[in-house]
Amino acid sequence: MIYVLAFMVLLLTAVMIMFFAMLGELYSRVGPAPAATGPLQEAKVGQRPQAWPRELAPLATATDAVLLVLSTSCASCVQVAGQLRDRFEPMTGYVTGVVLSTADPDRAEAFVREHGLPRDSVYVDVEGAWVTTEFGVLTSPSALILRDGQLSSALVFTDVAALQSAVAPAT
Amino acid sequence: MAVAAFLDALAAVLAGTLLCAGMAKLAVPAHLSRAIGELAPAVGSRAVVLARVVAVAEVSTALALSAPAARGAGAVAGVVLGATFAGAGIVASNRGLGMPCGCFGRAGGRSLGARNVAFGFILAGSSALLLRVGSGGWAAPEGLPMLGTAATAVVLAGWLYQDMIRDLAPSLGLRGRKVLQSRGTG
Repeated sequence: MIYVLAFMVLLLTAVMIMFFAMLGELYSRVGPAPAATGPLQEAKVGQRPQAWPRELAPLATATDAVLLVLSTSCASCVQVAGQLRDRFEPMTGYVTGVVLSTADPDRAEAFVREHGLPRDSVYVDVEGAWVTTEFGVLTSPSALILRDGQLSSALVFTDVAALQSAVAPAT
Repeated sequence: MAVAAFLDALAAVLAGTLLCAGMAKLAVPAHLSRAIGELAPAVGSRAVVLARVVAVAEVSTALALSAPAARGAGAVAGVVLGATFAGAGIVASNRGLGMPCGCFGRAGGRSLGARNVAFGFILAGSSALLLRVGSGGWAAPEGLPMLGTAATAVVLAGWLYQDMIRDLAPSLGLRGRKVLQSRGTG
């Protein structure tokens, strides 16, 4: 009896794997589900920072800029950082900078190295102090869209392609 | 007793891996058939049939390794399959072939090569060990080896399709996380 039950389990497992393989094939053809983007409610739209870190100084004077807020402890941020490896400035016409929130600066340095991010454009923000104070942002990954150094809109996102779709090219 | 239990576990791992690979290829033989077509252009349109033959051989070997009475036959089939995989990997490496192997029925991934050689040797060597030392049956209670095979296959499938599972599970990875919540683990 146990032998028959075990065989049934094995059979069900085999069928389940077959369905997984079919679903996997479909997934690879259709692509992943569209990643969610949405407005970042807590961001202080219209805010202009009192002071900019050296790494983010170019964003203060750029006509169009995007500040990506990542964290060393968020799984989606790892995915986004991986996508930035190939193209650090994902949006045409936008000067790009990264705020990397962390509790441990050493871990942030390792994060930057691991994902091949340009160190001179990444500000390591210990416990998110700067980005929270200046923009009221508490969420990562998120993208802060700046115009002439002033926050014009903010989005939460999990995929760079979705961010590119959500933000119109700079003119 | 410890040796018998080790052999049981070894057989379950081999069988689970082969079951996962075989069933996935039965469902989606296209990727392996392209690799076979690159490896042996002469087979032409029969590459799909060959891919299905490989898949059936893997599933049959997995079932045989999981059934006490057929363990010896499964081990013999394991040696043959392992040698075939290793041979294909060596030939592909020498020719520098680049088509993804589709070993688990998936698009993309690595081409036939060193990994297949390594897996082939492991499969053939482990099967030979089972044949020589542990072909007399199972030390584990009746039915348990099949459950071990099923568990191995489920874990392997979960690992292979982790991206898809993570993406399709709406509660995982789709929501932003609070920056300040990362204080504890930074």
